[in-house]
Order: sequence, then C-alpha cells, then structure tokens
Amino acid sequence: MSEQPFAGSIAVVTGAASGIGAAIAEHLAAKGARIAGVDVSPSLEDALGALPGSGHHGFRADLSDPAEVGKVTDDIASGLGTPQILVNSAGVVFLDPATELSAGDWKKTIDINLSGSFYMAQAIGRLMTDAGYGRIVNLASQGAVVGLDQHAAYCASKAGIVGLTRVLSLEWAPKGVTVNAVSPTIVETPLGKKAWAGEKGEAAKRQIPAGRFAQPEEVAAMVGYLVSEEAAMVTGTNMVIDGGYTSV
Amino acid sequence: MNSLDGSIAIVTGAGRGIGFAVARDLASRGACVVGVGSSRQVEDSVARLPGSDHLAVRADLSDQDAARHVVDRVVTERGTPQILVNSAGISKVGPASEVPSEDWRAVMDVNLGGTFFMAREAARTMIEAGYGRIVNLGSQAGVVGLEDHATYCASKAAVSGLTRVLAAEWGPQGITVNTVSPTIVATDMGAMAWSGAKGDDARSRIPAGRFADPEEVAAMVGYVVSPEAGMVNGADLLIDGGYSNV
Repeated sequence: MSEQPFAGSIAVVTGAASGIGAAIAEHLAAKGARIAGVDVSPSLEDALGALPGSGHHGFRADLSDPAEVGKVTDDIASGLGTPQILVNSAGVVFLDPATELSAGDWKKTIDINLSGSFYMAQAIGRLMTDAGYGRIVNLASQGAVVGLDQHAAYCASKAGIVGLTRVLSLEWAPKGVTVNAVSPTIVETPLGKKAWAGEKGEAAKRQIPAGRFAQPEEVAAMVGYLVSEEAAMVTGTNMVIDGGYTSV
Repeated sequence: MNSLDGSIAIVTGAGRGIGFAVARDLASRGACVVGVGSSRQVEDSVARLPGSDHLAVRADLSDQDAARHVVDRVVTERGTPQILVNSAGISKVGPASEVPSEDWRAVMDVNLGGTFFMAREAARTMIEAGYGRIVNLGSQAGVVGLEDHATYCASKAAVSGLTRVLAAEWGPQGITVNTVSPTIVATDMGAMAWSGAKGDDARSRIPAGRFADPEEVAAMVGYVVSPEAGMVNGADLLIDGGYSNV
C-alpha cells in the first residue's frame, strides 16, 4: 500500500483554516494531495502554509453566495486543474432555544451549512462528472440523525445535507462520482472544547458509549478512507463517527 | 503501511469469498490471522495468506459451543485477539410462504447465532485487555427487503440490531462493534447466484451500476478495525453503490 495514495490528486477542502477542515487538509496533504483550501478566515494562508507537501492554494470565498462559489471553482480549475476530491467542511452553529432563534441566525446557518455545501458540490460536481471520477464528502453531524437541545437550525441544516447527499449520489454514481456524508459526535476542536467545557461536556460524554468526544484526526481518517479509490462502492451513505451515541 | 503489526485477528468464513478477502487484507497490513471455517478449504486459504504465523481453525459455528473452543485455542496458541471479523454466513433462497423451518433455523444459527457467540467469547478476552475491534458482516438486505430472502434479510437486520447493543455495552471498555453491509459482492458464490438477467436487473438498480468486489469490502473492514477508528461504534456502514438509499 502506498503511503501517498493521493499523489497527483487535487482536493478541495472548505473550512480548511481551522478545526475539522484543517485536520482533513492535513491528513490528505500528508497522503500526497494538493489542497485547494477555501475559507473566509484570514488565517487560511497560514494554515495551508503549515501543511505537509507543496502546491497548496488558498481561496477566499463566502460559500453562501453562488456567484463566489462559481468564481472560486473557476479559479481552482484554471489554477490547479480538475479536483478529484471535495470535502465540504465549512459550517457554523448558533445556539438558541427554538422559540428564541432569530431569523438571521436561521438563515445564516442554512445558507452556509446546507446551501454552501450544495453550491460547492454542484460546481465541483460538474467538473468531476465531466472527468468521470470524483469523491465528495459532506460534513454532517450526529445532529442530522438525532435532536440536540438548542440546535434547531444546525440540526435542520445537517439533516438537509444527508438528504442532499443521497440525491447527488444517485445522480452522479453512473459518472464515477461518489457522494457521502460523515456525521461526527462532538469533536474536540478548539471551538468544540470551549462549547462543551465543564459539567455540560461531562454529561454529554456520559451519553456516548465510548465515553469521550472525537478527535479531529479521527474524523479526518474516516474522510481519508471515503475519498480513497478503494471506496468506489461507498456512496449515498451517512457514516456516523459518534462512539455509539446515535445507536443507543 | 503495516498498521496492524502485532495484532491478532480472528476472521470467520475465511475459507473463501468476503472472509478470505478480509483475511488477506488484514494479513497484508501485518496482522496474524486466525481463519475460521467449516471445511478443509480454510486450511488451504490460510496457507495462501501473505506473512506467516497464521492459524486455520475448523469449526461449525452453528454449534453454540464452537465459539468458545475457537477463542480458547486462539488465546492459547496465539494470544488475546484485538480484532474479530464475523464473516461466516449462509443464505437459503425461496418465497417466504415456502421457507422450511429447517432453513430458517440453519440461517439464524450461523448468521446470527454464530456472530453473537463469537462476539461474546472474543469480547470476554478483549474486555480484560481494554481494547477490541469487532466487525459483523451485515448486508444491504439488513436495511431493505429482497424478494425470496426472508431468512437472510431477517438474520442480517438482526445482526445490525445486535451490533448496536454490543456497541453500547462494550464501548466503555475500549471495544468498538460495527456492521459492514455490502450490496451483492462478486465472489464466486455471488457471481453464480446473480448471473444472467437476474444479475443485470440487480445491477441496474444499483446507482453505481455494478456489484462490489470482495477487496472493496475488505478495505472498508480494514479501516473500521484500525486503531484510528476508535470512535466508529454501533454504526451500520453501507457499501452498496447507493442501492439502499434510493
């Protein structure tokens, strides 16, 4: 088995500046992929500069705007070539009881998490279906499968991603493009650690059979399997990585 | 990448088909494989695995006591297993209204009973060690109905149900338990059972337009039994080219 199974591959990773997206970019880069990192954060270039390998590029874009997604896709195609891999990892979360949730927070969540994933998949998917090969992974969440207190917009957006994933997988399977969702439990990114600190976090861990949260690198390893050539028959699935949380 | 160096992996149904592909994949990643099978074929197959120190064990897993004997022998002759892949399975096909009781029992005894007893015996040693990876072969038939497969579908859906409970009970001890559910796999048996127009029709209902190769199932199992899959637990992982989601 090659240590660099993605040598010569171009992998588009959204949300690559931090958290899960950064861990995925690192994992794929370590296995030989050139990373096209997409993010709104000014720290994107620094994050890409720290990746193993070379030839990585950063692209600033607001994924909730289809015109910006179109432009970024053009820039990636002309600057790097047709991507073999797309990982939609960019996402936001705003917590509030459903009765208090503002229309603005609802819209932002749906626009970035769900619409952004669709615009990117559509634009990059066109290139992949033309090329006859592609691996698309959409980051969903255990919140796509079960309800989480104060996560109305987030859970709706992530469940939407799972539904979208099934349709894209069906339409693009004959063209050699797989589309899957990955649904982690709480992940110990810097943001995740802060949001789930103290007794709230301990209570959440008690409900996970494995007794802990996931590490970003563990999510990246699952994504690494799904975007490999040997995962050609895995499509339309929602791969849950939650220590057993949603199965009990 | 020899990520499984030093690991001991029990694979049931290792004589042929998916089980053999899994055994070969794990052996190529450095694991010492204990192949379990009901016929002489398992000895021939284990002898063909890459690497050395593998072990072939003959057992009829429909016998409740067989699992204990198998695991005792593994522990004595090789050591505590880190990995168990329950791949042994049989299928009896026929309209539900015509299924003989013996067929129902035979399928349940191997597919469900054999899986449970092997998992139970292996887990007892894994719990002591605080680490384990158990994968049960399910099927897309555990998720959707297939005509003429009443016993098989019931047994595989039951495997997924069992998996969730074992995952909940053993998760705190460092053991993961997952189901891997393939579509029709192009093993010798699969190719024979799904040849001609019947096979073409089945393929036409799979968005990817083909059956899975045993090596593809083995690659997924290889990921799930890796140390880095510690948070994948209680999951039913489909490898069906999109069949069950349309």
